[in-house]
Amino acid sequence: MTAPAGPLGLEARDLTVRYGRKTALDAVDLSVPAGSITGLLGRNGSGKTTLASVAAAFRRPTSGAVLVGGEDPWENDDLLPRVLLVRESGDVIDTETLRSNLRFAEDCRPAFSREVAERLMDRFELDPGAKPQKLSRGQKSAFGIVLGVAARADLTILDEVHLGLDAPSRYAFYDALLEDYVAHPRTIVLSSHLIGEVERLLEHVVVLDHGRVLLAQDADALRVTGVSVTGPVREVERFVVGRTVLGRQRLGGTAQATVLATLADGEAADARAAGLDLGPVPLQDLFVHLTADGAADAARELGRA
Amino acid sequence: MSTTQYATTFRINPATAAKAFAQLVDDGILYKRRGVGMFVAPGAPDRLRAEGRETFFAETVDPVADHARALGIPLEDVIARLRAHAARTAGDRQDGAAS
Amino acid sequence: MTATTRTLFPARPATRQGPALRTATCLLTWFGQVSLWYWAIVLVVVVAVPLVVDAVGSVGTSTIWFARQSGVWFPFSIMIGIATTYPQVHVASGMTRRSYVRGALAAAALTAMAFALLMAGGLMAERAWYGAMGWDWSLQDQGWFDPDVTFGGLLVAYLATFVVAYVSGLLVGTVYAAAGGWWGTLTLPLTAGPSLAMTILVGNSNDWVPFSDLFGGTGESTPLALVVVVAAVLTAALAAAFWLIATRRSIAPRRG
Repeated sequence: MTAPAGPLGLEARDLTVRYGRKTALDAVDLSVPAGSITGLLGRNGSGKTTLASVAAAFRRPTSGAVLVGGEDPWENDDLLPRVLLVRESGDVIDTETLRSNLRFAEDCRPAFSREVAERLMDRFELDPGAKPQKLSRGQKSAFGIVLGVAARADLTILDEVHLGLDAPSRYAFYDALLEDYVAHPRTIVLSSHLIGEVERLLEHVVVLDHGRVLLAQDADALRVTGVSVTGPVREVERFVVGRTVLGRQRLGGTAQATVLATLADGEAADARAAGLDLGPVPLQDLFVHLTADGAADAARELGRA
Repeated sequence: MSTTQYATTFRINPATAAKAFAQLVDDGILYKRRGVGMFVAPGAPDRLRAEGRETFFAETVDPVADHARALGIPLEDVIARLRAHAARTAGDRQDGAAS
Repeated sequence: MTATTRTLFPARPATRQGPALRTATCLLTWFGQVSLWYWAIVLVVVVAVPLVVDAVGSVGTSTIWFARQSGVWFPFSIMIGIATTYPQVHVASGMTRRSYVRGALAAAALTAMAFALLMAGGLMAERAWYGAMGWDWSLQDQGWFDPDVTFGGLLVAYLATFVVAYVSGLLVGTVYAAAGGWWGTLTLPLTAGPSLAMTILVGNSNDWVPFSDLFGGTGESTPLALVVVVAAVLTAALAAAFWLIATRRSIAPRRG
């Protein structure tokens, strides 16, 4: 009955979480592959944080189930040390030094790496003798990242941990995350609004909207299903016939449309010959289109594709 | 460079990088020697150049012709410019180190 | 890239503590530092006051006797603080709520023992010191929380009261955190009441206390046996409530 060793998968089965009258998650079914870096995307209030909370046994489902490594994480002595949720600045002991907090984490987390912690403390220029209550926003986030990476938990959920970090620090975080993921494989769930920055790190993508799963797909498959078409209005209109259109813009005689389409080789050349400019759709733009009001049908279409 | 090194250097997901390399192996551009690493297949550079040639004409040259027409530039001017540019850079390459 | 990274802390031995033990150690270490300050202040005051009084008048009363209520309420308030802030660190560190409850109760019990020893021992030491200095030593009679002044009697009475008070503090904090301000305040008679009840019970004019004669009471101070039984019952009830509520508590989203 124990969960397997190594990276832990995350599964939600008909998961519903309600706070009083507000429904944060509504009959959610999803599966995060073990050992992958999965992006958890969604607008504010979409239910991402609630999903993360339930996965890490911070709260219980109202109905339905969440399974980590095939087991219920709630009050699970064997499983919980292998599950880590870092929220914004991390849940640390404010009145103890960073060094003490790291010692505590090392005791609690079976795979904790002291070397990684030391290296990251240096990279983010954090003083081990400082206390969290005296740190700036960015430094608190950086420390949360140090804990998040060095703990090497088999299911690591990082919820908006980049807040307050400047761009160079964020890239240092992505580098550190990838490096250690390669060195010590684990399941990473990364929740971020900066989709453009994290897109290339992701193997799998889950998008939540209003407490429901909008789509859950392999990142590469998702990347090829969006096409941006620019050109003369008539040609663009001809191109989009029969395809799911996510968005349209027009300026004078030129139009631009974002569509869901997987093009055969010939089709692309034909389109170019007709004077159309084809381009990929960045995940961020795809996300904005899909989570716009009224886009639910498009998302379903995408999920079926 | 191993696929994971490639992934961490260019900050992309290792699984994606692995897929890309696997694709190149399938296409016969690369081959893998177990325990040693990945190598460029013989004849691959020529093949890539041949494919590149087609793509170059379809995606770079044709649009140039279209663009020139849109701007009202006569095609002869474009050709003359191309010849002059090629002559100039060929001279530079002879003077400087070989590429 | 730095050539050598600073070593944060020496490597740990391979064996790991269980989570309940780890919790107790963590809480006791933290609280230990805080109580060091408390006892340092008590020590300074207890030594300084009679010396000053002696210079201007005559010394006749115990100073540390006045501190006994603080031995109840100061750790009580610290326990409330622990119960509201520590659980989220505990759960976020991958441990179960059950191990937190066990660790916190153990820490409360050990703290009660330590404080009881220091209070009782301190009183005895003060009496000896006064005697050596040729001062009179009397206890200001306040009518409540007046245990019999023998080391054993003091120790048991203090221990019984402190254990109830500290567990009560854990429960008060837990109810506030789990159910909000309204319920927290509304249930104070149940959650904090027992602490107050203990201080009143351990008195010296308690002919109103029922069952006194059953425990060999003479109509004066409450018999120690009765104090211990009441403390045991209250502690069991408070600990059970603490367990029930704390093991079901949701950890709220972090604010900032």
